[in-house]
Amino acid sequence: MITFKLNGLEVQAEPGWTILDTAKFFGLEIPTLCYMEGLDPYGGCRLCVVEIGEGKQTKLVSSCTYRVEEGLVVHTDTKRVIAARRMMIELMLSTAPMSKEIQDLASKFGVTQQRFPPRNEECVYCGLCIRMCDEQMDARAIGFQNRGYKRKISTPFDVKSEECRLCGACMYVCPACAARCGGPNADTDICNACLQVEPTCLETYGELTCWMYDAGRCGTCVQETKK
Amino acid sequence: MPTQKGKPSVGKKAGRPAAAPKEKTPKVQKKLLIQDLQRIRDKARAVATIRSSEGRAKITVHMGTCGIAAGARDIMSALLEEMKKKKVTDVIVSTSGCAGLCNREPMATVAIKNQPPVKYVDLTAEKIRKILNDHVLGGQPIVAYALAVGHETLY
Amino acid sequence: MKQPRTHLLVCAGTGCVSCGSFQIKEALENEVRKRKLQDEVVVVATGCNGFCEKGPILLVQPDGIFYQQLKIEDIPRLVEEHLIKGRPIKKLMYVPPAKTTPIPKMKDIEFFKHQRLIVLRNRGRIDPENVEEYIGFDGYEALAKALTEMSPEEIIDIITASGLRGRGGAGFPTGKKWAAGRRETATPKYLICNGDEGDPGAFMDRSILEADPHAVLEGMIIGAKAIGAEKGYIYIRKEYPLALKRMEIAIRQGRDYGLLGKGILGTSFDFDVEISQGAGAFVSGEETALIAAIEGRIASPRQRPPYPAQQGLWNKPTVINNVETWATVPNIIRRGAKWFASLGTETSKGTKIFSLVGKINNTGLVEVPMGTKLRDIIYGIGGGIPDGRKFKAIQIGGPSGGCLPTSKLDLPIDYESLTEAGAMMGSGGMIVMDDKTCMVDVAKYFLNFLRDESCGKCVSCREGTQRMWEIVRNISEGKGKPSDLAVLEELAVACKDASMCALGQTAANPVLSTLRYFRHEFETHILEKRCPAGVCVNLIRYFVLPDKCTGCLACKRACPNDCIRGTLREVHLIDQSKCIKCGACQEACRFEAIEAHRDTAIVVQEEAR
Repeated sequence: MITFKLNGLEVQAEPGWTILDTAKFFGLEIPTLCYMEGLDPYGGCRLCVVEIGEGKQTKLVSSCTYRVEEGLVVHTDTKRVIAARRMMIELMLSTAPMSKEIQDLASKFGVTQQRFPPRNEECVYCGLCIRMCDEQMDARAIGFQNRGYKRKISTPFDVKSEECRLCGACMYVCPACAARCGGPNADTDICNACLQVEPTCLETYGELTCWMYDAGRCGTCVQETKK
Repeated sequence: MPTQKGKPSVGKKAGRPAAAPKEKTPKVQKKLLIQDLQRIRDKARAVATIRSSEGRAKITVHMGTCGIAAGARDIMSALLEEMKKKKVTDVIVSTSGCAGLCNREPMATVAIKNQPPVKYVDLTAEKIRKILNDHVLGGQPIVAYALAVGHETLY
Repeated sequence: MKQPRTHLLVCAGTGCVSCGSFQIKEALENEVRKRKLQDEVVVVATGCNGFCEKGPILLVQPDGIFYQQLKIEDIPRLVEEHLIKGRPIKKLMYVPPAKTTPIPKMKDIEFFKHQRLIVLRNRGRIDPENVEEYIGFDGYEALAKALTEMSPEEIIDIITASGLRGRGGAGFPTGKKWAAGRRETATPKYLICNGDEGDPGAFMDRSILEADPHAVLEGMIIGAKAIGAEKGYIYIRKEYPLALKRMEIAIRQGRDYGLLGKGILGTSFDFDVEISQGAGAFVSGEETALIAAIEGRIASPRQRPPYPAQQGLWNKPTVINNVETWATVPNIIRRGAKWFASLGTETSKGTKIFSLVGKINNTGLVEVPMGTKLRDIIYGIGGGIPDGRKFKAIQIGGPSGGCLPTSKLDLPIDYESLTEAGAMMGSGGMIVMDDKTCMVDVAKYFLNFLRDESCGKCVSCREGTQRMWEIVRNISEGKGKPSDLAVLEELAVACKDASMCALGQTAANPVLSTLRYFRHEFETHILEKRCPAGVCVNLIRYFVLPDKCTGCLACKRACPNDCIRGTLREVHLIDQSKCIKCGACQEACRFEAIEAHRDTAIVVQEEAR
């Protein structure tokens, strides 16, 4: 068992656990996007960053990839961490403005402005679709292409895939297309309305218009009682 | 040591004659042992001397139009052949333009480190060989061949 | 048979090769043969001499005469005058800027005088394709000592005591890294030589690989003994074909001569190396990305710990060091830790190689002891700024580094003092900038490089560099808003904090350092819509001064886009809608009547067509 400090509390973890594994075990919530249980951690969205170390030498690391060490000191919600998380959300929102999941994250973390001109790519390159296709569906039909700002997700050489079994797992796990905000100003507003259980699409269209409506997952709006 | 293109690298077994430059199949290189490193270093001493421009002595053969007319190139050849024969590796050879005393050409200046330079005049191939052996290697300047000892005064 | 008396050392580093030095070498060989001097004069192609500004370069030894900027036409006269008649040719020698007297000997030239060559000791001196020349200059002596007289622990102790720090940029103590590798018990252990050198303007590693590849090999074999490794990989970027070729030859010769492979130098120690070619990504210089690349995966960094010394190549203990670090090792083993530690400063020992480029008279490669002042490098070795311009900034450390202004010229070069000033030692690239350089443009250039080279995994780096570039580009085009600087700084902090690897973590440095020292320039671009250095194209507007224009038609003729209207003896007018800001008109005007002026103050009257 490895002993380390998590938010001031001394905790014990199994060897091989990451900080995120330990936090989840102890019921501590760390936001994630590109992490999914059952898939290899990727560490790309940088939402799960936590501050490790003490004094002047602290640094931020992604808790989903950082294996715990004896004597580690971890803080999950410092000023630096929150500022970093907010910026990650703002950046992701600028490439996938219509994603309800990211919009909800924005509301939750107090991101109230979108200062970057949106690129409606509807993708945050979190790699969940690729890892799902590779690790769980064993098809490896899609992957990353190029690097940096030219990154995109596609089949090898953009050719129609023979490996793809049309299982839909990639769409299922995608945070950008899992639920699409159907409100009137979806790509510019961070309206917080869904989390407040007052979805704007209800007023405008008379019904919920989230894409891939899923009673168990996305029915939060109708299932939660008004406060 | 200079290695020219086409010539097989050094290290072939003793006794085998040097192969012709155009030979296609290279000799199998013998793998080195620690003591071979010193041997190669010794062989490369001449190269090291020339390339670092640091010798125990410096022989300057005065060329220039007058020198060459008087046969300085033959003096140079004789000197270099003698140096090769006597395996002299710590002396550098240089050339210079006309030294000024054109009627005493061919001339050469021998400067051993920490000693005043000696100017030799009216040279022949035999004289330069003797100068190399007696003065440079033996340490004894040959007064009979010399014009003067020491640097020129510069005003 | 004659003893050769003169060696003609032709510089054959990539810089001079691109100026035709292989042709110069051939011309020399032909002329020497023609004049029947081939037994007396030897022609050798060496590695980079360092003074790249003046290539093609020839060094005549033992005379020590330095010839520069040679052309094929010069060769017959050179052989005739210098080699036969003994009269070195003044016209081909180096003349310092603003002076008229040539300096014949290399050791008297300012550029070379102040350098302390340790890692580059063989540059311009040996034929890198001949291992015997390397041995002739004390090569492999350190290896013999390490294999026969020293234990692995002793080797590591010496490296630790010397204070050697990684020369790839991070400056991690090399002895500590080796000790960590030694501690691991899993086998096989690997060594990697990082020859990716992606920084724009850096060519230190390329020069070492081209001039003295055996120094790197010797260092690696010594390291292998210290750590217990049996295989090494030398990763060289594909954009260095000459370095790849010379290293291949060196490895082949090493194997032939029993310096690599089984039973090195007759001992029982085995070690061999393999070359791995890069494929065009800056990020593959990051150690975990490089390891991924060698394994055949995409070059993308991973979380550390575990560090490569614990789990690296194929999850085995791997010690990865930079080319320069490996090449320094034999010198330390040969001359001792105390000697090495006597050079440099308290925290940064030894010497470092820098590539001095940009707006400087003596462009080239310099090796100086740590602690040398920036001023001495720029004005002493570098010969100052050309065309009489003023120094403005020096960018140190490549895209991970920062720009330092005039106030920092007396800073001693060492890891800590540079980091504190907001720059970084990095791999040693030094780009000098004059007063005609726009710092906003510089920030834009590096951000463009970084957004292109980001591997794309982390949102903070991939989106961060893209958005930072967009903001700086807008500022340079006159579309900046006052709130932009605050957003830029916020983005920079997020990028620095949240990224996984050093590319992202240092991506904000160019922006942060230019903002720290040149904030007024950014503000001028944003508030006044003006580029003080006259670089940002959208912010300059060429304008004819009516009281100086004589109507000579010179600018009209020079204009490539036909945007100047006017007839003889009539004040000319530049049509701003067609102007491409090339500046040809300003150059053509003999009366200084054309000015590059800022946008908003001019109201150009449109003439009736």
